[in-house]
Amino acid sequence: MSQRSFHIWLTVLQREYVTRVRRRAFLVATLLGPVLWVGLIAGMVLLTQSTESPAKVWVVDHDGLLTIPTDGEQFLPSCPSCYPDRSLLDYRFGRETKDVKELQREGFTCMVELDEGILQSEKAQLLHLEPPTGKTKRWMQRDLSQALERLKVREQSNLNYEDYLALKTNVVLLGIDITTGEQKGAGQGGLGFIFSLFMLTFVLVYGMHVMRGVIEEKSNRIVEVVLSTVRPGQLLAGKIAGIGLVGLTQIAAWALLSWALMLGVGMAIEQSSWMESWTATQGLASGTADFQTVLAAEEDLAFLLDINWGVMLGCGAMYFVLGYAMYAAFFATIGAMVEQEADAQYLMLPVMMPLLFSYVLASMTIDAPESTLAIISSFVPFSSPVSMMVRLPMGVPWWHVALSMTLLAGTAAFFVGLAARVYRVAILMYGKRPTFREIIRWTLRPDSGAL
Amino acid sequence: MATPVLHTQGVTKAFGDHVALSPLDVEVMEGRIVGLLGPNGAGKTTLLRMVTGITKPDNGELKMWGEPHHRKLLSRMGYLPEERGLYKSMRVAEQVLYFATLRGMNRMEAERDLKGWFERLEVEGWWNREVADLSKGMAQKIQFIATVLHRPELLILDEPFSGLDPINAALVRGEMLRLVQEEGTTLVLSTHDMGSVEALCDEVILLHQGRKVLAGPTDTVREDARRGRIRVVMRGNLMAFVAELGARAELLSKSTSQVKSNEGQSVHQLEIALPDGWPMPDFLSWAVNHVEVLEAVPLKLSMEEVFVQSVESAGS
Repeated sequence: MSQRSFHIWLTVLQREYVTRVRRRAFLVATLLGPVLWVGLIAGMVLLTQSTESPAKVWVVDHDGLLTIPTDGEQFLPSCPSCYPDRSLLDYRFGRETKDVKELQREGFTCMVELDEGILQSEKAQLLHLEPPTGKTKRWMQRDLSQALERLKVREQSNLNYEDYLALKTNVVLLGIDITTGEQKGAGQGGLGFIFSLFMLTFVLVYGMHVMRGVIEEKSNRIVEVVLSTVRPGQLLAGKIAGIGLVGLTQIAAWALLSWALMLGVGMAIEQSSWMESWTATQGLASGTADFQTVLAAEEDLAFLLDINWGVMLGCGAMYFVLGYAMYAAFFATIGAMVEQEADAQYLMLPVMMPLLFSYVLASMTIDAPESTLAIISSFVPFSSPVSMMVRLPMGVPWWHVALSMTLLAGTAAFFVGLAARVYRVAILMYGKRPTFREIIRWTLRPDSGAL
Repeated sequence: MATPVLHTQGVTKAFGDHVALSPLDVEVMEGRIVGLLGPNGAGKTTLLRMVTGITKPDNGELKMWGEPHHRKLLSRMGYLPEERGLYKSMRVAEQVLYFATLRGMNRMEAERDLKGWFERLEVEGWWNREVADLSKGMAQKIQFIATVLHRPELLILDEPFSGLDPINAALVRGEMLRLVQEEGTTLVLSTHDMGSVEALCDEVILLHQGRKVLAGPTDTVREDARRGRIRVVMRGNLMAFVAELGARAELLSKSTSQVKSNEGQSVHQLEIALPDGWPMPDFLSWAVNHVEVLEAVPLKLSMEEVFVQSVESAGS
């Protein structure tokens, strides 16, 4: 690119960027975004907490706290009524642990190990092949808590209300992936889903910004003045880059504001009286715990400390840039083909389909981000920006990310090139919508038709 | 011999089956005001889009300032298309400066010159106004400024006066003439307003169905197009004169003055088309034998008449 061409491209980019970032709507969205997202995250956590998944649980009762043996070396719960009949949750009891192969062969999805220590700590490990959803896990915690309470009550006599309250038990299950030893749970899936929703929204919103920009230039006829100085390809590239930069600015602003918000909330919690009482209940010395300690102790939130936020944000930004570039090319082509936004509606549907499909897939794989479907869709360029976001919080092999990004970058470059060929002709066509045959002809012709 | 600013030779352009320009030869010399005329669909916009680099000719040669056309030459031109708009989300001055920057102008220099243009076109208070607040006429003036701010050597204006009231049209027309006379700008004016063509254009090029049907200095074109038409004011027996004229020449119109002369005879005004080979002096020598000729002048056609006549004859 010559210096003059670069100057023109930069001038177009600057106009697209400046006119958008100073709009009141952009400033409001940027400032309110983190607040809304925090609310949405809370909503999503609630949602994941309320979904249920089938689970067959092998309960290892090493010290015979919850089970009684039968003749056939089988163990039955000593409190059958503590485990209500639920269609998706099935318990089996024993005294010995099983290895991964045994669990798989016998169809178990997870294993809970109990010994006498749980009576004090109220914590047990949940070793899973497939992580249960929040709701299923909560059922398991409630069932085991009831069974342990029953055990404690049985050992007491002359129980008064204060004693009863002291016997109340709240078992916390610490989810661990039995194959990797990593702590994984619904939290990561939920977070990944939030990120995928975030990606879908950004790609669509900024892609449509490009389309509207193209339609504006075409419908108010300013494009002919611009094209007497700027090549169509330069105009399109400047527009896509400028609007993409607006998106990146918003992502960066949201990340910074969210970080500041978390920091503020953390500091407020650390200095509150609640922190003192929490420290005391955890048996910690006063002043030794901070906000991170609280997060680490709360099993539903502890995963936040395990997330590699640098990788998440870095990959998120890259997937946005590449995914946005590809979809912006599609949207720009649509914009060039029509003279008003209403005409673009039905052309947008096929373009949005892959994104919407990957969103549906993301919602389906929220509990199983490593399923074959999720992995394949994270490589397919049309869906990878959204699908990979679900997988990233779980930790993804680096080569998966590299391959997925390479495929996406290549596909994006290919479609941006094709879009530029259609755009340069269609943008000056008035009173007639190009036919499919014409579009194919333009994409095959390397000569731009312009000087 | 001076190098033309614009020179095309055998230039053609087709869009699918539609031929927009047949082999076309045109020439525009420096410092001239040239009217590019023609009915809708004649190929004017296609030619202008080629000159402004938006499209390329299929065949033929297009030279600007003696060089084969290339993109670097585009910054020496200013183009105001017929269908034009402004970015609604930008402020007025910011928008004009954007176009000046795109055309390679230094930002500070552009701001300084823009202030001068705002004064000359009486839009000083509009510097920071939203484009959405502009009236159509005001937007036209801003678009004109955006076209000329980078001091183009070749100015191409397509219907520059549409949407302007007579006062603002005169203001813009004055600035156009100033650019040509003081700065030596070459001006190509594409318009259907034949009054403007008569008032401004040194030369005209008339296109019809992608072909050049007429070209030359405006006065010459109007003179040539009269085709032997003359106006005669006479006194005498009209009926006898018309009978004598017979098939020698075509009587286009006749009118009789209400005021009779001293001798009681009416004064008649005739418009006559003389055939080739019967020049006006010969006609007058013949006419004085029959009537008293008070006045005889060659008829000069208006540009509108030239336009209609040329297009009709090209069509037939």
